[in-house]
Amino acid sequence: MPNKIYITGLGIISAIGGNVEESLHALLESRTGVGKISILKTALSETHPAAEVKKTNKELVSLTNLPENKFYSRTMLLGLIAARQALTAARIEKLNEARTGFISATSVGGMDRTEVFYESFSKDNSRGHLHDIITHDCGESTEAIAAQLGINDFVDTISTACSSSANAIMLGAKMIKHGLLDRVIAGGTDALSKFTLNGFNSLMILDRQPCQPFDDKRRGLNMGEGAGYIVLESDKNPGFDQKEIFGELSGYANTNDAYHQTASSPDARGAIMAMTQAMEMAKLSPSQIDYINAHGTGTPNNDLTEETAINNIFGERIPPFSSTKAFTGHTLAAAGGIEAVISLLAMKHGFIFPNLRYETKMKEFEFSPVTELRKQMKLSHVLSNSFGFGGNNSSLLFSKA
Amino acid sequence: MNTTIYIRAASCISPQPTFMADGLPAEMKTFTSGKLNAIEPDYKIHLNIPAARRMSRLIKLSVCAALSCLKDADIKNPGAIICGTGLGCMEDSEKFLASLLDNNEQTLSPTSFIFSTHNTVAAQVALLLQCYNYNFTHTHRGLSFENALLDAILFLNDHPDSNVLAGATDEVTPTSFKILQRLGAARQDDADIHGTNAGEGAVFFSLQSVAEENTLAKITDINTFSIPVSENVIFEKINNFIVKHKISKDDFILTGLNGDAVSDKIYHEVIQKYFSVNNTGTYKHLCGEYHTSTAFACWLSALMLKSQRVPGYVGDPAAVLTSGRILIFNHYKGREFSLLLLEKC
Repeated sequence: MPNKIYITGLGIISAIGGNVEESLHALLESRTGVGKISILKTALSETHPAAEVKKTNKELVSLTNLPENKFYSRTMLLGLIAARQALTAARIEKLNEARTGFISATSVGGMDRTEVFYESFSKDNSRGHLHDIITHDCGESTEAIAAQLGINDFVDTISTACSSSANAIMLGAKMIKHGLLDRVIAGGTDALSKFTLNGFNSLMILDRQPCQPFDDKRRGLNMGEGAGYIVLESDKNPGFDQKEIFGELSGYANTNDAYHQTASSPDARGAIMAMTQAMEMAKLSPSQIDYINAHGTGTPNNDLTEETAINNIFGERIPPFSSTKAFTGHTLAAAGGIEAVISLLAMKHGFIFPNLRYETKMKEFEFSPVTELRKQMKLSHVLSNSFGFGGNNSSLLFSKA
Repeated sequence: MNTTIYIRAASCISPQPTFMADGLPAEMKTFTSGKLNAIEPDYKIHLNIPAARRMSRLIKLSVCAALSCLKDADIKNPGAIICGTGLGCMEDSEKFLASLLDNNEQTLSPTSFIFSTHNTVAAQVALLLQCYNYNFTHTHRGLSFENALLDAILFLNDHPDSNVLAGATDEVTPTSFKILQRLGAARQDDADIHGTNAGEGAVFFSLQSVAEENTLAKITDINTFSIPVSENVIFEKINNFIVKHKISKDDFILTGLNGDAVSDKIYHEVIQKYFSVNNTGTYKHLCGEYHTSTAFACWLSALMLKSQRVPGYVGDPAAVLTSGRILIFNHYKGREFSLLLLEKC
């Protein structure tokens, strides 16, 4: 049974870039992806900024090897682009030489197409193009991506709201540890949709300005879209010696806050348990954590709970932390995958990316996130948090290999 | 890895009188077409909590099944809650989608959005139990339940002294049925060889890594695969599983036959190649076709193994479960395939 899980490939697409290189540049230049919605047709485009991938579906198709077709879900297209990057980065050419799995997360799957279908269907149920509804379920995008990549051994979709792709990565690691797979491409994908945009708006947790995570005057979150995947492997795999190692997944945990369907608890119980258990698995003490890529959505509730958890665990020695959602927006089920990629880039290059637009310290605590880019940092252990609806809390711990 | 886990208790809400039944029901109805809705329990008895007011039908069904399963298992707080669902909470999703279109994206009530999330059932159960443990939801089409079970196996390997509440929930709504009809997936009548019925259910299991006196059955192994490139690949995968477990004509096979000629072909071929016709059974005429119908099949098989009999509504009542093993073989629309081996304890 392999004990160590290594990351050998990264793939990312979001509002700040279409691949790892572009994303890294945006992060280094403090260039946000949050702006006016122009691709998604929504009544909220004038009032609510979001972090949109500024490419039409047709343009996204041209970045894949798929034939032209207007019925692909945007969720699938974003996912395919990022998953293929991860596979290429891991220098995996022959899929059959090792047992390969694909575990993808999404919150609403092909809801972007469902909305098109339902607009006609709701007026007359004999109308609506059926090609627009067959991509509705969460598993569709996963299966379509797996088919394009040529993976059919183990394919799974995880949907636990905003912690989904952290959970997909965790499950991938467990499959390898227990000897069921040799390598896994894990992460998640979510496209902007009217459904989720309006959902968060109805909860009154969207910011009408660019969001300010962890700021005392924070007003809410900006929605984002994108996909992020990492390749997990054991060192027993063929050609492992020649691979670039981005880090090791040394710990992970999923817990439940069991407080409220959408809100997080004031005592931060679930968040504390997730971070603590991830460190316990890696046999690390809080003082060994060099950076936390926080969930930090920008909502009053989440950020207070997360700082409460950080304060509770780290006390006198708060490690540098920042939320990169001010760059990427909140990409929901893709967030854990996108932030896993960002955390691994931070660790590999010794960067701590700034928490953009932070101005005022939260009155409840005496500490602040990192607001300026830090370079040449020695980061040996990085925590990445993802907290979701249904009290679903996950932490991933990456360590230098 | 040890793939064997034990079913400590099971609870099933389906279109049949399966909920709170003492063992296998004496009779079940046959439905070869149409929309099959689950028989709803008396919520005043089984879900007498204020939170139930805001829950959709599927969430109520699921929470009832989950709580009753834990009660039977005498477990207050499970070590993990793992759910599978193909389509999640459809009713809430439809409601929110309709409301955002009707109101041109203005002044919407968040309730249906809040409950539309795919992990709502697992979350609501955790909330009611104050269960802070591992909480996962798999939403992978026709393998949503199987992947949840596999997750439970992984969890029990990591935590052999713990237990898992694992289940599957899916619903058929008037909208989803209309879409199935338009897709040609809904069978017209018994003469129709295209399409099938449409069902739903909420089935939960309490699972652990050791056998006890009251254990219903054990799950010996699971194998799944997706989008096979050819029929040869399907047979190769099935053959590997059959050889691995030395499955013979003494074993009973419960297949996902659903009346659709194209879908049924592979079941007939597998039966002919490996099994005795007398040792076969079907279940989708009882619960309907849906993404997580294998959870119903798993519940049915566990009770068949416990009672050591084949009810007439499943197969030949004269059949004897000689080997004490049942193989559940299912596929969903020829894309997701699963093999699930259960054994008596």
